[in-house]
Amino acid sequence: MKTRHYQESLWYFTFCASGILLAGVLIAILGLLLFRGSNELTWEFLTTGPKGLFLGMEGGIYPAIMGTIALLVIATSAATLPALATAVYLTEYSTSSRFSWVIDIIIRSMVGLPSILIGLFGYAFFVLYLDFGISLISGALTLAIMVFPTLVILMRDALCSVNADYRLAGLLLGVSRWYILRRVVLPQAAPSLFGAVLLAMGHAAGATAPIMVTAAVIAARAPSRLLEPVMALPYHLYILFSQYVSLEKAYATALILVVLLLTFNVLSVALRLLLPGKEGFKL
Amino acid sequence: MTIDYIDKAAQWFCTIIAVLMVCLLLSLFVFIAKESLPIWLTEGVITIIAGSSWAPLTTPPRIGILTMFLSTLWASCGAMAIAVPLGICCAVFLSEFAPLWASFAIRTTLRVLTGIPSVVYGFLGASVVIPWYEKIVGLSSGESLFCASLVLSIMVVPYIVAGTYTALQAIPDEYRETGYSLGVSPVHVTCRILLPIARRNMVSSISLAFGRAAGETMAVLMLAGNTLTLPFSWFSKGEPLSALIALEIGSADVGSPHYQGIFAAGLLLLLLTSVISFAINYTNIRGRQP
Amino acid sequence: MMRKCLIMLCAVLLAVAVTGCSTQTSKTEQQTKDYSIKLGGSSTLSPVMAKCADDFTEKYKSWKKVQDTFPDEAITIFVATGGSGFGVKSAINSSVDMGLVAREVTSAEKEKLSNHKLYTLGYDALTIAVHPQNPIVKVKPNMTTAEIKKVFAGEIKTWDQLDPALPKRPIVIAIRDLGGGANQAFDEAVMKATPISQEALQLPSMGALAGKVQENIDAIGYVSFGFVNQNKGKIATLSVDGVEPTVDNIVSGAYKISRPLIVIAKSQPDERQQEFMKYLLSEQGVKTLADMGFIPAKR
Repeated sequence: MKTRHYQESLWYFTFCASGILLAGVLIAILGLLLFRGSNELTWEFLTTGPKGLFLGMEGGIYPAIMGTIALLVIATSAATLPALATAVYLTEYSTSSRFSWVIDIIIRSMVGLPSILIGLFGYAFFVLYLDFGISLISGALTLAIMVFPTLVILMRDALCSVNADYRLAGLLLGVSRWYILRRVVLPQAAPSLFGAVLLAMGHAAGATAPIMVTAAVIAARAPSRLLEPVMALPYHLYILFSQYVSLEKAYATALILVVLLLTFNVLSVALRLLLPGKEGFKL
Repeated sequence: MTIDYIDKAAQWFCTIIAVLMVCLLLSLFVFIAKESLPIWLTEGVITIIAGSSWAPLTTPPRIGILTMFLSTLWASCGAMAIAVPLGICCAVFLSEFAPLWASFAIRTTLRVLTGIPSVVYGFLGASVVIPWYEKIVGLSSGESLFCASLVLSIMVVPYIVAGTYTALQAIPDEYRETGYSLGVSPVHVTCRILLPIARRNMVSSISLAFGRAAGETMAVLMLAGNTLTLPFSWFSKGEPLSALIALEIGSADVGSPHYQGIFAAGLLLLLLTSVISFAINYTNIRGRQP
Repeated sequence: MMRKCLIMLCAVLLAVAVTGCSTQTSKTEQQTKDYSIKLGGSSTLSPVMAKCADDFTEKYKSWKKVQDTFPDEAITIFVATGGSGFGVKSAINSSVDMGLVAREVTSAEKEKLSNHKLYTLGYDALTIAVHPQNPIVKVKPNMTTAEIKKVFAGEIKTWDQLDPALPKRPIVIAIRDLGGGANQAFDEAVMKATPISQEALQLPSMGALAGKVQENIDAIGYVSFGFVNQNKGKIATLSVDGVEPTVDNIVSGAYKISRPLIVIAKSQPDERQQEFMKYLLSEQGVKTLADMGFIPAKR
């Protein structure tokens, strides 16, 4: 009996320790970024371009910030409507269950696709075949393909979570599915749908591998044209660090990137929690 | 009557878009397969996958991606070996043992962890983890698949925790109550009763995590060392498939054996991640249908 | 509660739209011809080009100031990195206007570059670099080409195998990956077709190579002369066959491991590219190249 007791205490301790460990890791990460990166966060850093004998040693990251924003705005705009249509198809309009099952499983399998492969496809298709070159549009469309499966799944979950009674009531009253969708389901699911879009924006903002081969350069101005290459925060961080340009600026860039993504995440969670009756731990 | 037309139009619109998008996603497979086809035919599948010599610029070019394949396996399986126990234990803690406020706090923490981009993980790994590792073990060069696995495990653990937590929460309380009322301890209830029930959902989140770990590029690029030797142990350096593609695609001449070799590596990576993902989803959904 | 949702939705939409709009309006301003210049290639040369581009843009701001006949348009120059291999490839398929290469261009490549012109901006040497605290700096500051070849080929694996007075620690070899220009230059000058050890760390850029040598006491690598100058005191260099890597030795050819810094431009570039090329070849361009530690070509 005693050994059983010790065994259980050990398990109990393991469970607690793992939870605390993970929490500690995150606090350590954020703390480190804040500690080493906040010195460099001046207004100049956020609003001027890179300068210095080795570009990036001094100055700021303004073009990279604008580049990232441009990329993710275009990418999510391109991906949202198709994703919404696909999610609507999967929840409301799928008649043949086998066909929609196939589509569903294909999209689920694509969620975890390595981003470098999407970058490879984007490079071969947008940059070379369609001859867009290394440009904002190539990068944004590649990112759109990357976030599309995740968006579909999140939107589908949002639509599914609307109370089925509403649909039944609507059908009983003889109203078409489109009407129910437009008047009842979409407004109810809107915060969650929007939360999904924000989450997708977050993914797109942080992705480096796809834009490394399709859109990013080390020196560019703030984006103003679709066919121009751009600077981007994650790529700039990679260059600052791997080419040993400036460790402090790398920390500051990382801090800004993380803060940007956290804002998207927090907003997305806040929106989803507003939906009535929603509980649980959804990523 | 007009409403009916709109309904039909909306249905067609959604169906067509859904089919188009899926075709686009599938065309990714086709594209990568097509671009790498010549090299598969000239060199042969076995030579490429089992070949340990990567020298695509020599004549004749030697395309052997065994090193990269093994590196990917070491890094991702190693990451899973760390993340799965850690993740399951943490999820059990959050679901069964933690007070509500702690559970909420830690779950929020984990959600925040998923929001951190991989390049930041790679950056922190290279600037913090590797110097520590070098100091603790006394090595001259700390880049290794082990360090890559460490950082990868932190990246994928939130997915495992989320999936396991949801699975555990979905189990009705009756199971727990019955167990407690029979005098079984909470730990025993969890380990022997709840976890086996939750197994199916756990497996799907684990497969998602594995896919992420195997496909991760930026973190391993900065941490694995990028050498061409066969990685015989977890602690050797290597060059995972994703790092190979990211590093060399820029300089490969379109259509050259080098280019095709990179696409071949991409195809292998694609098969590795999607086959596992597809298989797990298939068995999951299959199992759910009565 | 719906109102709260709507308000938050509108707020976020507004924020997104504002940032989106700001990019949109500038897009519509310049719907005319694309006057930007794209450069890309060697990771050794691209920081220099980025600095030159920045100086050129700062100095003139608008093409009109460069030459009165040009329209009043902001100067836009993009610089990408990716290695000399990328530079040659992009010049060939015209995805960049000027390719940056830090090695000799092979005859096979020159065939594909028939409507391009090669400008040699200067020279760079590959120094055999180690960490300043590596005891070899005091014990054995000179290595013969044969010894260097053995070390990089992996035949000599630990420092004490090189010289008994050195500690018994493994040698960490740092090299550039396949697309790097330094790879080819080093191969021609030292390795001569002997393959480099498979255990060597392949670094994605010259900057990363320089950094590796700076931070790891057991590392040895072929760091660009320019990068050594940019990091004075943080990298120690060894002489090769008795010849030290100094400006005089490199210029005279006594130091053998050197490579040209080449810009591949179109043989019929448009006027703007010509102006920028002129700037690169002018006094200021030469000064930037020299400031960053490279050796400008004699005019």
